[in-house]
Amino acid sequence: MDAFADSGELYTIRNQFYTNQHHKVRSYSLNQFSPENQLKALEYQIRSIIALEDDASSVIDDGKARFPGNEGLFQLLSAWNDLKSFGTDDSTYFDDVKTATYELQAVLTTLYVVKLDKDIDQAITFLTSYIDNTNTLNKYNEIEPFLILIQLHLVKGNFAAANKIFVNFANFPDSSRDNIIYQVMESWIEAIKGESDNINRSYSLYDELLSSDFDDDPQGKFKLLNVLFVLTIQLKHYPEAQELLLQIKALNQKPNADFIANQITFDYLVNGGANVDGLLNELKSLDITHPLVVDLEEKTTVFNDIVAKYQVEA
Amino acid sequence: MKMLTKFESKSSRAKGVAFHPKRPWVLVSLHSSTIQLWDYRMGTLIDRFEDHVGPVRCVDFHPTQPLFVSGGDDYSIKVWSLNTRKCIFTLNGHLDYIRTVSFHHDLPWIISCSDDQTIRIWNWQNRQEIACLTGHNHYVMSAQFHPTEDLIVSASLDQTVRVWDISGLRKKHSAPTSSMRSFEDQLQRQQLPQQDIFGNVNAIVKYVLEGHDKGVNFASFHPTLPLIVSAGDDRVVKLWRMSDTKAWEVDTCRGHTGNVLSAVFHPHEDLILSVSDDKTIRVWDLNKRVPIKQFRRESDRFWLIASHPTINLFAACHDSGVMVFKLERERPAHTISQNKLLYVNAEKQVQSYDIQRNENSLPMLSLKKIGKTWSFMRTMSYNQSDNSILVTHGEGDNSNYALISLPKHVTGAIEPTDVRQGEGNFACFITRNRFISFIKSSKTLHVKDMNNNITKTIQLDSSVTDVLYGGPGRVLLVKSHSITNYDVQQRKELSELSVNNVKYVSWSNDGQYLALLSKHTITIANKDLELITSMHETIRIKSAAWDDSGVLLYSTLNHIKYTLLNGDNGIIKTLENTLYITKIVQRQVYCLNRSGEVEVITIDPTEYRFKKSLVNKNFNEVLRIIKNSNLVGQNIIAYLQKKGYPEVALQFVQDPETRFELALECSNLQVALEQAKILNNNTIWEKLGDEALNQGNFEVVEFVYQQLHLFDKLSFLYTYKGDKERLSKMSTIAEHRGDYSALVQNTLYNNDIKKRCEVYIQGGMLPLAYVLAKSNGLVELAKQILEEAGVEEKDVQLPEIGEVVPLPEPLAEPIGNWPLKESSLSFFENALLNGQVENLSIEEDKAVEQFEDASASIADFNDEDEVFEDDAGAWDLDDDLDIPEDEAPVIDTAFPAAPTAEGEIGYWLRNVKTAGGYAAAGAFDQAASLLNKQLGLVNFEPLRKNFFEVYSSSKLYLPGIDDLPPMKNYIRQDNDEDNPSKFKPFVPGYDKLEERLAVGFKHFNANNLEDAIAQFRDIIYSIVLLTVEDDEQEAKCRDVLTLCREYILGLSIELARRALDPDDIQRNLELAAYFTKAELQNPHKLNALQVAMTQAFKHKNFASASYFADEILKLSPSGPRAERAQKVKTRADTIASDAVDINFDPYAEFDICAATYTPIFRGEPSVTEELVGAKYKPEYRGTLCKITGITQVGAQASGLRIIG
Repeated sequence: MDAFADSGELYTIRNQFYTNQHHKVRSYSLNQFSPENQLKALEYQIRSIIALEDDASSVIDDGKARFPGNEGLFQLLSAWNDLKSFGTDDSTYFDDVKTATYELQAVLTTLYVVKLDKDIDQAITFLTSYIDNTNTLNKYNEIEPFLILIQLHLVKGNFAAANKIFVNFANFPDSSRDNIIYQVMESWIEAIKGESDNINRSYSLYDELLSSDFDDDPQGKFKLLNVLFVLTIQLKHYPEAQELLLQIKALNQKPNADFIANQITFDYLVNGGANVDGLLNELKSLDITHPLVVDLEEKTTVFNDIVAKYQVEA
Repeated sequence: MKMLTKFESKSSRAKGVAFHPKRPWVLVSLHSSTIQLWDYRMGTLIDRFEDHVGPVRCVDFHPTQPLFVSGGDDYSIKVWSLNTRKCIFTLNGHLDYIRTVSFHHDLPWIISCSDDQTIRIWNWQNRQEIACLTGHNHYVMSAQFHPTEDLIVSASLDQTVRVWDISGLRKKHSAPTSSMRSFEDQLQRQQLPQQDIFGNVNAIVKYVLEGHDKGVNFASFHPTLPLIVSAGDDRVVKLWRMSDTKAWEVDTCRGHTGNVLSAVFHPHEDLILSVSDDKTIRVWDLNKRVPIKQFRRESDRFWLIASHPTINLFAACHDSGVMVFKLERERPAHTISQNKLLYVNAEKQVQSYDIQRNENSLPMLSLKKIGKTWSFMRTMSYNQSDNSILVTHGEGDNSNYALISLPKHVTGAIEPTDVRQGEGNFACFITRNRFISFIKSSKTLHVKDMNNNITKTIQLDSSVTDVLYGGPGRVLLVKSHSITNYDVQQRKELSELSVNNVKYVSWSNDGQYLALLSKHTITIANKDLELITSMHETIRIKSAAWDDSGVLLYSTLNHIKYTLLNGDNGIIKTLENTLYITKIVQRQVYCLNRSGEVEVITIDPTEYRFKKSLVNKNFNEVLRIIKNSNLVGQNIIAYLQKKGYPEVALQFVQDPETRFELALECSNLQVALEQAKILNNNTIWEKLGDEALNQGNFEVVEFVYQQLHLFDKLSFLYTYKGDKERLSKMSTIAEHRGDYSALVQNTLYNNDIKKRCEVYIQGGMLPLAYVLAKSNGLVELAKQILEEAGVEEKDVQLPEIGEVVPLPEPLAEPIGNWPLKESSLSFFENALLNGQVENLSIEEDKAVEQFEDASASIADFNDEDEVFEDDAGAWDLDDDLDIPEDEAPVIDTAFPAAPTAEGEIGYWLRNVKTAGGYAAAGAFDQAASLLNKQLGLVNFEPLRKNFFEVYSSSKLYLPGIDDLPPMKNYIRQDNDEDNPSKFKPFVPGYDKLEERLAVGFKHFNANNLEDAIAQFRDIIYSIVLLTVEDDEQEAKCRDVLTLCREYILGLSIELARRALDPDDIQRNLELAAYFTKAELQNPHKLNALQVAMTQAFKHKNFASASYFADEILKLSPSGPRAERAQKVKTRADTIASDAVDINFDPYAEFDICAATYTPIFRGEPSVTEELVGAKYKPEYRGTLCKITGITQVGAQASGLRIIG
């Protein structure tokens, strides 16, 4: 029986991992899972601990002892943990990965390439080559690389490429699509595709997820509300967006650059941009490389040129 | 098909039954001689009629009059009054048992049939038998009129059904035939059997229907078609058809195993219902003549079946009473998704109603082929992400669901293509890609994906009887005495609530509350199934929905009612026909009726909003409602009293008596006193006196005692108040009234010994008077008494008299009202006292003024005495300006090639046409080039903010995986557009123009002229980058641009004037005059005129002052401003000349140069600026426009184009 199916053991933990319920993922005891699923559960747990910005080394060490013969996996997780905990990867593990041999390695290495090398194109090439070289069966079961690939294309504003990958899923077996990862990527495609029906469908996923218990995972709720905030603005439902804004602020999470960027847009739409300067400064101090900051700088240069070009004596 | 029993009576054998046409009543005639009248909705016996001797076999209500008729084995027909509940008269004539009796639908006739083998027709108005139809040669078991035509159908044990034509009878009784009959006519009539002694033909047998093998017990007409159904002892139901000339047997319905006693057509559906002594009711398909459904009673034979004339109800008589039932549910399956109501209409088609637009769609999908022909769609669930519906249909073990995709574009009721079906008594979506189906027989809950594959199976407890929707990922498990919230994913019971026989659930819009509906109970709980309130309804509850504010509206069979979370409830509307509430938006209640149609009902929510505000202590809202609504009635007053707000109730009441009671209740003596004065009634005064005494308000007490002439009480009141003065007055009054007892009492109170002695003397009680005087040291008086009595002092023996006992001295000042603790006024009293209510409006405050009605409050501005007076100095008009000959600098205006882009931005760049569109798409170069060409725009710096605003307003960042940058997302102009070649960016701003103008006017009014100019410029800048939808919007933008130009120009002139050297009187007067030429809104223009008038007058330019005064009077003919103008005018006209010569001709047409603020008279050369159309003297060509600050004067330009 497929452990990820509705009735399978890993169904819930996977859903929780991909919906940022990391505290929940972390709180499982491995003994709750059958021996054959424990390693996968541990993998989610370690990734969750790292996502929560905690040090996962001791859990990784325990895992190594408990699941001998998986050194490669633990080495990877260890490198990822180091990277997230110390900001650098002393072991040069990721730099040494030229081609990925298994899913998680492909996923984490791609993230590394984007984060450290800031090279999205290289990341896309790397991931595409992994996917192309994966045999079909694995491809059907391991769809996280597709999720990342789609996001990378959408980061670059290349909807056509993202949509092509997504549309191709129609050729996959139903079981591949019956997966939280697929639903998430579907929601992105729908949102960015636009049109009320699509945006509403995308919205409905997050709205539905919101009904889960996020008491222990405010960071997960923060993320969900942020997505809903974007979709609500996209639908031009401003009073509802305002309501979401208050809800998000009430969660008192650490500042988030995307949230600030979207607040800037929202402020233009409802306040005529009265608070934009403050928000922009906040965004710059938080993440000077945020796409909005970069974009606005580019546009400022263009605009300066325009001013100079047309200037006449008063 | 389901048979739903609505009512059952328990009695002896019931033989006849009839529905009242309007009220929820049935008449039941019993074999025991009684007739019963039941309210089948309430289940109560209303009355009993006993006048017949022996069994009563038949009854019928009159269709319009308060009458009914009965016939029994005593051979008599009785007509009864429903008003007096008595038998009015008896019709005798039949010679054996009466089998059926009924009224004609419009003539005053009754038809009866009997074992005496006749059918008789009676006129109940003149109580005469008007026809006796013979022909049957055995008992006539039933006879009835045709519902529209002049026909009768009868059934007899002679094995025939007969159809009779009674048009002759109608002719005879509707108008007397005075004309001579033709010979042929008379001859023909003589041949006919059914004629009276005058040769009139009453009725002729039209058809004799033979086919039954045994006696026929019943025959009836179809309500609209030429069909007859008959029931016989041969155990069959036969269907007959007739034409104008013949009648024939169509088919036979076989299945009953006993004598069939009665059969009728369904009034609306193609069905036949029959009853038999085999203890079954059977339903047959009229078209296919096959059985559809049967209902069996264990030990009762059925005798008769009757249908309600209008609604879906039937009544069947059996051995132990009657049962009233309906066939099939009438609640149209429906579901709400956002603002869309999806429902199944009467034709079994799916339709959608747009609640926002109040528009019904065409039918979009036919469900006729889903399930069996007569299976009813019971529930519907909608999946937005998949645009599909899930319906359940059928009953019991034959219950199924169907999952069907809806068409994207509605073109009519198409046949569904991709139907995924399965077994299930209930099914609904629980997440966007999962639904559940519940199979009652095995108590199994299946979780299925959209391909109809089972992904999970859950075995439920055997006590689960039904399942309802429980929010995302959850279901409610219904047991007979409880309900459980069940998490399907975790297979976990989350919470439980004890509640009986829940049938439906309605979740509040925010998912926080749910209303559980049973037949007669509504239970409200929160989402954790904690009980909030529960209430009982005598009339069956049909539906419920929550409004946005969390009030539950529900419908019963005949009402729409509301309930608050605290259980307070009331009726909102009485319904003629039952409705199912689906959604409430403000005052609109969106319902479905039993014909599967949407009905939108407008309700008055004031009462429940008021109560809710009161319960939530939202007193501002309460006050608003008090002020703005017509909320009255005893109900609301009683409610307020009950809730402890008598002071609020006071505001509603005019009736003095109620006001008095309420005032007492809230201890408001002042109001109570006012009302008591109006009522002036002893009981009222007494109540007021008691309350005033309780409160220690002696003034009111005194007033009340005075009103009631309670002198003794008054005296006592003054005594304990220590009010000597009034007490002595009371003595005087008592004396005046001759009330000695009272007088003595008063002398006791004020210790007036002398007076008391006098009273005793007057009363002849000399010994007492003497003793009193003596013992109090009034020696002289004692002596006089003795003299009067004619006795000596020695004759009187007195005990030893001690010292005079002094009475306690009252306080120096009489005491006043009791010092009560100052009570704080309630919120309402405060509000009502300080008049706050007056300022409350139920309308939302308008955030901005419409610029059309620019505020008339210009107090800050028009105080010209202070603001405008200190102008002086000289202004040196430089006539020798160097006029530059240069042309405007040549700018490379070749339109830059649009950058190529992918995705959304690519679409935008291909589709946009306006500068705003280009800016939003990030193509700043294109936008700038376009603006330069269209408007001669050269100074872009002021537009920096606008460019970035337009650009940023359509960009969003969708967060994805945490470690990756966000995805670019976009806001489109129209989210309903699905054609990529029309995708355009959203460019905001048009909607805010008026708001922004209002800000400009506000600055104007506040005399912040620089700010006003900046605001109007800002509006110009935003219009430059707008994208609007149509010509109308573009025209409006042009108007706004012109308006902004005029204000900037006018205000700039005024600012220039204020900056002048005070000695420059001529320029001062000129600028003041030019300011009046700006096309401002009238209230603002008045300011300009007033400045000009004041300045002119001040500087002795009386002719000009008179002109400006005239202009003011034209715009504002009355008020203080007009008075002042009038005064100036009168004064100025006496001199009528100007002391200072200025360059201003009020009667000439001219523009004002926006650079020099001098006139450009008609015909003089000028150059124009393109964006706002500002005029300049030619020498300003090529310079930057002073009005806009961004465009070049006189530049070649194609004009503003902002339609996107």
